Amino acid sequence: MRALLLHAAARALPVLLVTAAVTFGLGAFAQQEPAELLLGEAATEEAVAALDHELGRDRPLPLQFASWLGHAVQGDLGESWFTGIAVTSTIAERLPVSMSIAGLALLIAVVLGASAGILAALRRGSWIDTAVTVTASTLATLPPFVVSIMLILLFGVAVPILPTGGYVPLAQDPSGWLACIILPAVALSLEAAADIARQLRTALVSTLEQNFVLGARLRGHSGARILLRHALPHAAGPALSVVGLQVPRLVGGAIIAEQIFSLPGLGLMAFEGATTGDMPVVLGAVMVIVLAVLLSTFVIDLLLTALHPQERIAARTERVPA
Amino acid sequence: MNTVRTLLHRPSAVTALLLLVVVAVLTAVGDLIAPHDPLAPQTSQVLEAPSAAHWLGTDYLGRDILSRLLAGTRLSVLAALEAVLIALVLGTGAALVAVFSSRPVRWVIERIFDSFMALPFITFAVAIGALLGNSIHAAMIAVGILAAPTYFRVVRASVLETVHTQYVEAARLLGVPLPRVVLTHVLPRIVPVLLVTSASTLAASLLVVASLTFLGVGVQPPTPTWGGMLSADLSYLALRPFNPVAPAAAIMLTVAALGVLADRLRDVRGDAGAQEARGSSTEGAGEAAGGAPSATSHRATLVADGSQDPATGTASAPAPVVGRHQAPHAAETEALVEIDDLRIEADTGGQLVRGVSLRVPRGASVGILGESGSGKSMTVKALLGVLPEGVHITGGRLRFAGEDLTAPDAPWQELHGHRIGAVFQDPATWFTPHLSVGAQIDEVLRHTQGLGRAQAAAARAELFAQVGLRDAERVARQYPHELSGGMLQRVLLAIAVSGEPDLLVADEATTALDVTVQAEVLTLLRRLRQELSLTVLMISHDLAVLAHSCDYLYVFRRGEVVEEGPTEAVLHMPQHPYTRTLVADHTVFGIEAVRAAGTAAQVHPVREAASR
Repeated sequence: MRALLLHAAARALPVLLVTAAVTFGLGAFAQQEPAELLLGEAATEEAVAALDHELGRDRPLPLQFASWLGHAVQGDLGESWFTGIAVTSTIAERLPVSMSIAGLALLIAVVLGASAGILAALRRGSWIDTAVTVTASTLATLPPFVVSIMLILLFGVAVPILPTGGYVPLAQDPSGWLACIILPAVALSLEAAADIARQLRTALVSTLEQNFVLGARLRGHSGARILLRHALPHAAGPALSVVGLQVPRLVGGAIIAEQIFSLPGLGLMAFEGATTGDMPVVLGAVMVIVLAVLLSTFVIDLLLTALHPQERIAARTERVPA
Repeated sequence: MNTVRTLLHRPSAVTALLLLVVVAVLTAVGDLIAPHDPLAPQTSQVLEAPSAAHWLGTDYLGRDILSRLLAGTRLSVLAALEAVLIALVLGTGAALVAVFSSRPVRWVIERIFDSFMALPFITFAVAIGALLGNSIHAAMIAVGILAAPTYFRVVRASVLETVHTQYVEAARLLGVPLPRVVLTHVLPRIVPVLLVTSASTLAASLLVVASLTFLGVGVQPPTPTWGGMLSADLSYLALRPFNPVAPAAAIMLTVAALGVLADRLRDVRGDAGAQEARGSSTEGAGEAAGGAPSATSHRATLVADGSQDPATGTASAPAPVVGRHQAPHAAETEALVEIDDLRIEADTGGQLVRGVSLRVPRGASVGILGESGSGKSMTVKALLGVLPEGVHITGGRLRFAGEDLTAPDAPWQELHGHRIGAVFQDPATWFTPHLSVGAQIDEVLRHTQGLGRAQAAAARAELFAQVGLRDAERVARQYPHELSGGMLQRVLLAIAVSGEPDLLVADEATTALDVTVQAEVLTLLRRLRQELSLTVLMISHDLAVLAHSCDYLYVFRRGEVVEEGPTEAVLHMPQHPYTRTLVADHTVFGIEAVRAAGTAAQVHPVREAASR
C-alpha cells in the first residue's frame, strides 16, 4: 500500500507541475493586462504600475511562478485579481457542485453501462444484445451538450417537471439538489455509459468462452456464482480502464453542462477566469480539476490491481528497483 | 490497396465514406453553395418555421439556418483537422525519437506524454483558448497537444513491434542509416495504425471543437459554427424546439461516420491478424473452438493424406466399425456410460460426430484415441453437457448410470461437481486467474459439496495429500500463474475427485506437459483410480499414453469409431489401416515406444494387476 501510494505520488507530481507550468506560461503569453481591465482605459501609467506591483506582476515570470508554487504547496492559491476573494474559498464553494454532477454522472454511467453490458453479453446474439450495441454506438456519437438540449426539451419544455438551471446545496434540500443535478448528470453520463457497456460486453463475451468458466460450470457452480465471482471480475478490467479514461472527459464535459444548466461549478470558474485573464482563479480551478482526475485514476488503479493478481505481482517486482 | 478493396465491400464503410466526402465538399465550398447569406440578419424573418425559402427556418436574427449550417462546416471541420495534424506530427515524431533514443531521453518523453493523458481535454482547451485572446488556433494547439499521447502510444507500440522484426534488424546490421530504415521499413507499416487513430481522433476533435464553439471560445459571434448555432438555439428552445436538430445532426453524423470508418478499418486489420493467428493455432485450440470451420478444415487435411486409407477415405455415410476385436469387453458388467449411435452436428452444417457407440463399464479404464477433429472431444463435451454454442446432439442415445443425458431435463446439477469429474489439457486455463488456488478448491468443497468452513479446510488438506501436493498451505495461498503445469493439474485432479465422482474424464490431461511430469500425472491418475475405485474415461491423441493407462480402447476418426477392443489386442493386432499406421509409427520412430517402455517399467505391475 505504501509503495502504491509512493508510486501514485511519483506519477501525479510531474502531471501537476506540468499542468501548472503550462497554464501559467500560457497565461503570461496571453499578455492580458488585468490592471487595465480593473482600472479602465483612462488609468494613469503610475496607477497601472502600482497595481501590477501589488499583484506581483512586475517580477520576472519564473519568480512569479515560484512564488505561486510556494504558496500553493501550503494550500494558499492566492486571491482573485478582480474580486480579491481567496481562490480556495471560491473552490470550497464550487467543488461540491462539480462533485455532485460528476459523481452522480459516474454512478449512472457505471450502473447503466455495466448492467447493459452484462445483459448483452449474457444474451449474446439476441435482440437485447443488438439493442444495447446499437444504442451504445448511437450514444457514443452524442456530445453531452446535444443530450443536454434534448433533455431540456423533454423535461423542461415538453413535460416541465425538472428545473433546467440553478443549484440547491444537498444539505439545504436533498430533493431539490437531486432535481437540479439529475439532468446535467444524465447528459454527462450517457457517453461514458455507452463506452462502459461496449467494453464490458466485449470483455465478458470473451471471458465467458474461457476454459475456467466452463470449468466452474463442471465443478457444479451456479450461473450467478460463475458470473459474479469468476467471469465478471476477470472481464471488469477493460471496463474499469474505460472509467479511468472517462473521468477526465466527465470533468471536462462538466464545463458545458455547468454552462447550459447555469450551475456554479469549477469548470465554469476556470472558464470565467480564463475569459477575464484572472490567472490565480484559472490556475486554482485547473489544478483542483486535475487533482480530482488524478485521484480517481489512482482509485481505479487500486481496483485494477486488486482484480489482477498477475499484474499486482508484476507491478511489485517492477517497482522494487525504482 | 487490399485494405481499400476489402473496405469497399462493406456497406457501412461505403456509407460512412460517402458522408465524409459530402462533409469534405461542404468544407471546401459550403459558403459558396449556401442559398442565402449566412451572416445577413433579416429582422423581419426572426425565428421562422421551415418554408420553401428557408428549408430549415431562420434563427433569432432572421438568418437562414441551412446557409449557416453549410457555411459553418468549414470552421468546424478545419479546426478539428488542425488539432489532428498537430497531434499526429507531435505524437508520431516523439514516439520515433523515443524508440530510437537512449533510456533517459525516452523516460522523460514518456513521462511528459503520460502527464498529458491525465489532463481533462475540454477544460484545458477552454482555459487555453480563452486565455489566449479567444483564439480557435490556440485552443486547437491545446487539443492537438492533449491528443498527441494517443498517437504516441500506438505509434510507439507498433514501431517497437516492427523494429524487432528480422528484416529491420537485418537492415540495421547491414549498416543502413537509421532515418532510411524508419522511412522505408517502419513508416509504411504503421500507416494503417495511423489511419485508424486519425479517424477516431478526428471524431473526438470534432466534438471538442463543437463544445468550444458552443461555449463561444475562439470564434467571434457572426461567424457560423455548428456548436455556436446550437448555443444560440438554446435560448429560444421554447419557441423553436426543433432548431437544434440540424446542427446537432451534422455533428453527430460526421462523428458517427468517422467512428464507423475507424471501426471498419480496425476490423479489416483485425481480420488479417486473426487469419495469421489462426494459421499458427495449435491443434488443441482448433478443437476447442469446435465450430464447423475448424472441423471441416481438419477433414480436408485428412482427405488430402487419405491415400493410405482407401477404406473410409471418401465415405460420407457412417462406416461400420472395421476393426472389432473378438471378445467385446464385459457386456454383462454394468455400463456407467452408454453411448449409442451418437450424432453431433454444428448449426453451420458440419457433422462432427457421425454415429458413435461406446460403453464405459463401471470400474474400467477406457481410452479414446484420435487426432483433432476426430470427434473425440465433442463426444466428451456432449457427455459432460457442455457442447459449445451452435453445436447440438442430433441423434442417438447418451446415458450415464442409466439416466438419459440427451433429455432437456437431464440432471446436470447432480452430475457436475458430484458424479462426474473432469480434467483437461492446459491446466492453467482451467483456473480463474484472480482467485487463489485454495479459494477455488474451497469454493467447490463449500458450495458444491456443502461442507462448512472447517470441514472444507480439512478436506482440502486431505485431497492435496491424496494428489501428492506437499506444502499444501503454501500452494493453497498461491495464484494459478505462480504454479507449474504439473502442480496445477494435480490441483485440478483434487477438485475433480472432491465430489467422490463415479466417473473421471481426462481429456488430453497430460498433453503439453513435460515428459517426466506427464509420467507423474499418469501414475497419479492410476493411483486415484485404484484408491477411489473410479471409472476413468481417457481421451488422447497419444497412443503411448492410452496404452499403459487403459484396458479398452476406441479409435476415433472423422467422427466415427473405426476400431475398438482390449488395449493389448488393438496394439498387437490392429485391424483398421488407420490404427495400423498409428501403431507402426510408434514402432518405426520409437520415441513414444521408448517413453512408454520407460514409464511402463515402473508401473507395469499395476497394469497387470488391473487387467488380471
